[in-house]
Amino acid sequence: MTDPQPMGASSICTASWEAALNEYVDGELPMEAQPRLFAHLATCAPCRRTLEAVLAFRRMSRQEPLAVPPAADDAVFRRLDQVKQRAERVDRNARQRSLWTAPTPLSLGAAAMVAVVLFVVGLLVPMQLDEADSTALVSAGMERVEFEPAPAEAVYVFYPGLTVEATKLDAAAVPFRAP
Amino acid sequence: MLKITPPFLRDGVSFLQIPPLTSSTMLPADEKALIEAFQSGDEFAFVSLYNRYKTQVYGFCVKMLGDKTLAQDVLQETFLRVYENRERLIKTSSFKSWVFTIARNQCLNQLRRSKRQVSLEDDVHGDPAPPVPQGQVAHLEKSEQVQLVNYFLDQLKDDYREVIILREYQNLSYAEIAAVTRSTLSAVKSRLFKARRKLASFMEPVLQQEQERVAAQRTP
Repeated sequence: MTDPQPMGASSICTASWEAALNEYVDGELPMEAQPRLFAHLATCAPCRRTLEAVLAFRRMSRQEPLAVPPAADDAVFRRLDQVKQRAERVDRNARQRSLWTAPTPLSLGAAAMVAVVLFVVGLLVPMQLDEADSTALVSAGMERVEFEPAPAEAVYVFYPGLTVEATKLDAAAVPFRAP
Repeated sequence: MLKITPPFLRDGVSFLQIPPLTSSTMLPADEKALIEAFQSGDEFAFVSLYNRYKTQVYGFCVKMLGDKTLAQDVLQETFLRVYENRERLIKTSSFKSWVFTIARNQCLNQLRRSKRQVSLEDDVHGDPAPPVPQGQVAHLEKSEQVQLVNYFLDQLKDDYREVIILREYQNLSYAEIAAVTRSTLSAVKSRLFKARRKLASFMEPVLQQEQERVAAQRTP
């Protein structure tokens, strides 16, 4: 609660007295503060007029009984019934929806796009890997060491009843290697 | 998604017209239980809460909008939103404030729409003339008093009018008004204070006029 001014200054009408007056009108002013407010009202004509005006307004405002017309009640419940029926329809449709018409996280177009992208990636990745094989990754701290292929030399391969001459690298043509 | 529960209308008759429930099917007596039942989908609880609050909400809307037809529309919209958003109400103790908050927002939306229309028609109609009381305030017809009070309310700014209506007509506490208007307690007190000062300035000439009449009647 706002503390009004002490009794000595009660003849001066301040905002704090007006605040106390409002709290009194609203039933929020503590009992112990009320005698001081009444003492102020006894000496302050403007505050008394304000109090009279507020109370007169209150009296007059209670003159209008406002009851909800029955038609308004019916309208409220009719509208709520429509809302419920709509919700029921939505629920029923959701239950009856087949697998193909069920809502999916991806649309058909988006799914097709994803398939195309996967297909292209599937084509490109093996080609990239082939290239990567020929140029193996070497970090800065590593030294690349290349081995000279062994020089092709004549190897004698024995075939039952026949002797042929072939290089060591031509593996496909050699059914077995000589010991 | 709304939970499916029995219909509000049975053979075209709303629950309002159904006779009171017997003790075996009686709704929970205290409001907290009623609100919890409503939140769990009990439509009897909703109807009971509607019956409990409809007059207050309707009165608030009528005073805020100054039009009974618009107030009925807002009442309908308010309770529809209460029903649809019941899961959003976290504290059952603040149900009243919650309902009034929805009603207030609907009223403010309606006022904004109306003001747009009125601003277009202002040149044609202008402000209505204030009603002039013909007799003593105490002896005025009820309808005249209502007309005068409504005129004074209409002269207040929207944020002053709403606190006066919530306090004077709906008897909400300062804390409840603060919750409804999304403001602080001190802001509510300050607005009430200023609104009453304004109302007093409207009322004082009327009261003074009355006192002069009384004085004139006493002198031979």
